[in-house]
Amino acid sequence: MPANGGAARAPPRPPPTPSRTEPTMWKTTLRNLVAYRLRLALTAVAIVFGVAFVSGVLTLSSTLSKAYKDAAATDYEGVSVAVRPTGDAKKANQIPALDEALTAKLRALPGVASVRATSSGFTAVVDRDGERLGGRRNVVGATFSPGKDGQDPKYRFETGRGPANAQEVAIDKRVAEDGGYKVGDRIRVVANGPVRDVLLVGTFTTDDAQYKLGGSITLFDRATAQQLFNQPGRDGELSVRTLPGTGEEALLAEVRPLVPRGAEAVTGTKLRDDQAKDIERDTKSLSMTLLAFAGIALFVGTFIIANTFTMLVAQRTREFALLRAVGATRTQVTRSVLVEATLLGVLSGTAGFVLGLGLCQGLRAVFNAAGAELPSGPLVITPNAVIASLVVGVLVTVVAAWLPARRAASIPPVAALRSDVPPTAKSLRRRNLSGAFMVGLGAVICYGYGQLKDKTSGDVLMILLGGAVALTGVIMLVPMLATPVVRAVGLPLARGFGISGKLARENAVRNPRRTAATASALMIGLVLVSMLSVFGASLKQELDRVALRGITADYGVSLVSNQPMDPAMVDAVLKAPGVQAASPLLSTEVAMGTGGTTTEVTGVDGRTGMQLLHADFTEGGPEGFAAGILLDQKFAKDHGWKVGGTVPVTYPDGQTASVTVAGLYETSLLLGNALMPNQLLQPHLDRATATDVLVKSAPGAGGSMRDNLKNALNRNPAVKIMSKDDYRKELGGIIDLMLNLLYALLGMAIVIAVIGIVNTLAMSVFERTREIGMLRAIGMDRRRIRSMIRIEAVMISVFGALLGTGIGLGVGVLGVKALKGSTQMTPTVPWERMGLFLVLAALVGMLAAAWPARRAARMEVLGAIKAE
Amino acid sequence: MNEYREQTPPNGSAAVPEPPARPGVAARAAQLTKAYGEGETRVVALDAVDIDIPRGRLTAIMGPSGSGKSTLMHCLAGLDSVTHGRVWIAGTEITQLKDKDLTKLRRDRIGFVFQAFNLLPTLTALENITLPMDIAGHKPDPEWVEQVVAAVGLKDRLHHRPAELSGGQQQRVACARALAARPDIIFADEPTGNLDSRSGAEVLTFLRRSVDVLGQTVVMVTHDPGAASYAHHVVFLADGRIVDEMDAPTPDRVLERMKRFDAVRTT
Ligand SMILES: Nc1ncnc2c1ncn2[C@@H]1O[C@H](COP(=O)(O)OP(=O)(O)OP(=O)(O)O)[C@@H](O)[C@H]1O
Ligand SMILES: [Mg+2]
Repeated sequence: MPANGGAARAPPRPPPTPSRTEPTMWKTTLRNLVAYRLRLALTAVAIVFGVAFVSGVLTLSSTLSKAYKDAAATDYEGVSVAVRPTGDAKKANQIPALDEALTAKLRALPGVASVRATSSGFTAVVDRDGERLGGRRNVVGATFSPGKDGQDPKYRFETGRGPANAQEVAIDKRVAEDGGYKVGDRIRVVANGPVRDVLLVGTFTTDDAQYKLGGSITLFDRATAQQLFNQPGRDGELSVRTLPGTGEEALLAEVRPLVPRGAEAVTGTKLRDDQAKDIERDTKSLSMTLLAFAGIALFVGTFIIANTFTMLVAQRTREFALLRAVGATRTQVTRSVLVEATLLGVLSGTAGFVLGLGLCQGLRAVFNAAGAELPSGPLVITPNAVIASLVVGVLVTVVAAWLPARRAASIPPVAALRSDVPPTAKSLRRRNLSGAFMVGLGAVICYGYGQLKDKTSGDVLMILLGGAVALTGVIMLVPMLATPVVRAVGLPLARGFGISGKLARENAVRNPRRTAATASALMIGLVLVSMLSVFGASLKQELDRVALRGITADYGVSLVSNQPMDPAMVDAVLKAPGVQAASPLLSTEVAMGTGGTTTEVTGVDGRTGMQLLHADFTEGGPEGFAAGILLDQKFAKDHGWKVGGTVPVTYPDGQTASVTVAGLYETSLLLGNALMPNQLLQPHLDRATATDVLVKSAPGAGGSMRDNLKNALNRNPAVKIMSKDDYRKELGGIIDLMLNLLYALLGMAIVIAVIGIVNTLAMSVFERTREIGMLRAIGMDRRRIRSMIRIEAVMISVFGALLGTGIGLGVGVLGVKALKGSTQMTPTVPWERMGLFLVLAALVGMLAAAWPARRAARMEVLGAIKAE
Repeated sequence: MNEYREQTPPNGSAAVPEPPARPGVAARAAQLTKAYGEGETRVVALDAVDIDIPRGRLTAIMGPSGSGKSTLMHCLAGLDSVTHGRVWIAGTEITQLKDKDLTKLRRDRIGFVFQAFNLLPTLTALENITLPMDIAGHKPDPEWVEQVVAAVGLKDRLHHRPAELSGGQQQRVACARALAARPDIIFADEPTGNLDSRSGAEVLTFLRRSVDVLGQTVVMVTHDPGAASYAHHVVFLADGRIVDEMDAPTPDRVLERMKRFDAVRTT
């Protein structure tokens, strides 16, 4: 520390020993860390938590990436060139001709060792009670594709053999054990169609990723797999393996000319690279999202750290002044504080890194609880995570300690001579002015973009940016707001709790900057939480509205896999007893107009469809729908299409036609840009693409309808029958889940804010030792000392929460309004939830005060009076 | 408590048989011993001290540094626990009391003036003065408060915060606070220790007046023979024992007596 460095320069001292300057500085710094360990420990906790978030996310991302890569490592083993459908073909529901003829041609190419023909899709094994085994992910069926030796190298049979005909299947060992099935049993399996009653001929293990990620695999013979997952005679993918001596690229050149329309040929190397890249991208986007939350937590953390250092500097004013008096330079004082911050950052960064490993597991659990089905696997610790943790820990601490360090340096030497140091109540004016400017600027941005008629997503971003600017301004204004707001909030408490309340209220407004920094930390978390709550509530209400008004069908029938349904099942639903009207719901992309840009089109039955869906027609109506098209009025206007006119369309199979516009409807989240009768659409699709069948029950059939539908589908466990209410609940559930996930992620910021309250209170209690001793001496009992501290905490946290919910609510409402152009959303404020936040904030305040309050109450009267 | 005091004459020192209940005694210690630490490091700060603090008088406790003055005051006031012996405040034995009752006793019957940091910086002078009543949940008696405030001579500074008052003014506010609750006894530990002689004199005059005019009982610890001369009675402490007492002290006599301690010490 500069104590000695400075002293060494003062002339009348004994000769300095320069070599000892540095060690002494370190020693003093370390001694300070030890002396203030309790107070620093709390600061450290704030850093530790923030860093833990970062390290947890980075570790999670590398762990997941490794787990996925390991699982997928052998997926393309031995594949030299693969022929598969293009992405566009998949989107347009086209099934390219990857058939026996092509297989034969590929086999005949020079240098080809073998060709594997595979198809795959959702398939679940049904247990003895008629329920599906396994979750919803990685539950697949695939082709058993034996080579000349009758073996498929991908699967290692434990018992029995592979399936040879449509009546046979093989299943993986794990699911066989789960179901208690043995070779020779008759078992039931279900793909995207009726339940199949088949003979189990073999069980196996495999290195397939889906198996390794915990899923189940059912093997069919080639023809059955083709029929189940594509169409009879067509495979999903052909993978070619070369003889030694033939290169991938050479083979690719030979394969390319043979590739049919809608398919592409790629080399094994590209497949493997793409897969690795996909995994990287997926885990990266996950970690980026999570890091944003870590950033919020750290941002909140800086307030806490800055607050602590400010308090520490204030408490050590005399010490710094003494240092300056004996000759330490400003720089030396600044440096000494920053060195302390750096050491603290290193310590907390290290601790945070370790804690992050635990948090990684916690995050995994959170995501799995939300249904993410993340793979298990050992933690993968990368040097990057270690470095990032330390850098973030040190950086955040040093940045936060910067201003307090400067303040320490500006303490004049004379401060050492004053017996009592008056609190340096620097004027807030400059801060208030800049804060007000920021708020104004933010408001202008928000208002300006809010007024725009046709909003793009960029405008919404600008509104969010405006919100952020305004929020920064508010953070600057919080000290100014602290005194009046806390006084107002505190009034009822002060009235209700007598002297404890009165003193608490005075204490809370005693140092507006400190109260403000503490409350701001909580405010930031709550701004985001309440903003998201407003968005969630508005979205939920909109979905409710859409579901209530937009769907007139009573039930929707679909598969748990959300894959297209087998046409036989669709038929079964249409013919179920008690059905008044029913229609398969198709979804595909059709190019409209001359530009050739495709648009998502929803298909329903031309005759019954409009009994199942509701559209608010602005022009025309459902009458001409059987032979025409219905369009979103805005979409139509943009293209200049009118009722009675025609629209040129290009179907997915490449055919073109002219379709009459039968009606225009108000924009709806549910209907999209265009509705087309299935009668027009279906002939141009290669396969049934109905993912849902909408059903309206006949009058009187209401109660038994669900059962009728179930029976019509032979109680197929792969089928999901949802009433309108179920839909609403499911969608609402998804929104709630998302909200809860976001709350959980923001939870860390709030936890850190709470630590901040604990920290501030603990330090305040420490600073007020003598006061508390005096209060105890003149007769205030422990209980009231405790409640005095608690009430102060409640006032601070409620102040932060009021600001936070208020701002969050405002930004949320404006944001929703801004989105109005693209949706019909109207802002909905979840008042009960906002109230709950305030109540929780008060409770959090109580909780945060528990320890400081106990410390205050425990103080020995004499010790407190004598305290220096 | 007030009625109790009203029964006794302001300067009463009548001897009554039962020690704890002697009406002329505001506080009393019997065989009071206070030791700090254990074994090797054991320090006996008070060694079997017997003392009666007469009601309605200003008693000064004097003695060399480390003689146990503060310790005696803390034990008498129920701020510190005792090792042996018993202590009574206005007839209540406090050595047996639990923290809660002790707190209540301090609140209702004792007033304090410390050397420094007597006041809550967040409260105005007036609020500080009525603080003990606020804590007790009593309504302050406005006439009495007015009388006390007038006596301290702070009428025009009542709505100032401590930071806006001089050290002497702060101490006078502290005295007013101690008086305002009409305690049985006021303890003051070097109340003028931080003050210059003029401010010190103001405070001491005020304390003496509160005894003479308002009938208050005050115990004051001090180093300063001049301050001790404001007392009716001085008790000299050395090495944890009462070694002498003096009535109607003057600065010279007290100084003379104190010098003898130094002499003893150097021999
Ligand atoms: N907490 C403690 N632990 C150990 N010893 C103590 C403690 N408090 C006081 N002492 C010792 O008890 C003795 C009496 O102390 P006390 O504070 O009563 O002296 P004093 O007469 O008030 O001195 P001064 O005039 O310096 O204030 C001293 O020897 C002191 O060292
Ligand atoms: Mg003392």
